[in-house]
Amino acid sequence: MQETTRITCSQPTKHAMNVTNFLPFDHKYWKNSDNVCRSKLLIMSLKSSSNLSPPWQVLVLVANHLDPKTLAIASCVCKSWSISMSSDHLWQPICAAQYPSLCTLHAAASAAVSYLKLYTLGYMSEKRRVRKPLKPNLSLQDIFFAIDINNKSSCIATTIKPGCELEVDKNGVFRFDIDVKRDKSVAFDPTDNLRITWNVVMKGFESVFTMMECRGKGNFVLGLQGWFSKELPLPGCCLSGGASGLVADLRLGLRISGGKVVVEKMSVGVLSVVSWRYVWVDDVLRYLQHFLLP
Amino acid sequence: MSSSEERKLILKSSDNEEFVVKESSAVQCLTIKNLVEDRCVSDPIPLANVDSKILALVIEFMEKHAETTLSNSEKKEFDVEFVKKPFDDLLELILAANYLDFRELMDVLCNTCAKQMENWSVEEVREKFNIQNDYTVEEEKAARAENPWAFE
Repeated sequence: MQETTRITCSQPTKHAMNVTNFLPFDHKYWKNSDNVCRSKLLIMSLKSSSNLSPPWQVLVLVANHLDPKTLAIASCVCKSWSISMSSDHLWQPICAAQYPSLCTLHAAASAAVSYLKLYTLGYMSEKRRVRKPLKPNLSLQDIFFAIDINNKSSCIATTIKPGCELEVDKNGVFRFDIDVKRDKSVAFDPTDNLRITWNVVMKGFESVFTMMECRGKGNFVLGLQGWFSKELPLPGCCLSGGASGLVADLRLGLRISGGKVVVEKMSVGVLSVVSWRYVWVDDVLRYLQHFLLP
Repeated sequence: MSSSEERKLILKSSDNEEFVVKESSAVQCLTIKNLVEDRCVSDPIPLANVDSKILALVIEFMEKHAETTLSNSEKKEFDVEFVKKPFDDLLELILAANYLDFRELMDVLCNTCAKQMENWSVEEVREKFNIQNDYTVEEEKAARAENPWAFE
């Protein structure tokens, strides 16, 4: 007949070792005991698992050699194993080896955080740091560009280009060349002050984001290209204030007609001011999401 | 005692089988070494916690590793073959090695077991160790949810 016996920490005698039923495992004993008693309690807890299982002392011996994943799996086997396999003395060396910078957190709060918990935190935090962004919820098919260029007297070029018709740059960056139809383009004096508006509109006119609205002469260089740029705002939901680091970029391709010039092509894109390179299409779509999607 | 004669010890298993071993091999087990050094050696040395089947295996390992003529790689090859045993036997050997304080054998066995356990699922661990699951469905879910990374 099996009897339940309480173990007193002060005398873990040989007799006590033969106890076959040690239920329930009492945490009060665990907290108040030193390491010697703790290892005996560990043994006790394992012993209660089953009379047919292999000798329980062997678990204590093998546990020191197990890798973190196996230890964690082992801790889900049954209640007593969950206590023994999560013991600090097993997890402290693992944590110290893999996440040494987190070990100081063990005693940071008034209640000590277990090393197993710290390991879990370390693992998850490492994963988060290298996480890739989610696919954008917006695609080029959902939007169209509306670009208007005016001088003082009239509209000198206008174009509406659905996103699905945009030719995607072979490098996958957000930069598109758009031809302007002859009938949508009027000759103008290159010294004129121009007003440029570039709107990105959701299909069905559900929402709009003004990529660029600027005035000026642009930077007309030899080779007949006018260049305009405008800093893009930071989406307010992520950070308040500060720069987005992005710039909307528009270049006009011109041809000479009589004494004046005509816009025959526009190139639009988004540049990063940090790298001075065009930004990936997906990154710009994720940016635009903030302003175009509810 | 002439130096050409090897000192021998007799080890007696829990089921009363006797094994003769060279003292030089046997002292790899610190438990035995301590007995010898403290001159507490009785004839035979009773090993109450080790049965004959396991003791024979321990002696096999012990004698192989005591051979000075063997290279380390030959000993490693032997170890690889030695551990090809049923899991339960390995566990019993671990207990014996622990009782005898035979560090080398312990390390080989524990590393082998740990390696075998590496990709086991929770159910496999239960099966191999013959553990009764005393969790309710919710409790087990909660236990697993504490270390989700182990189940990826």
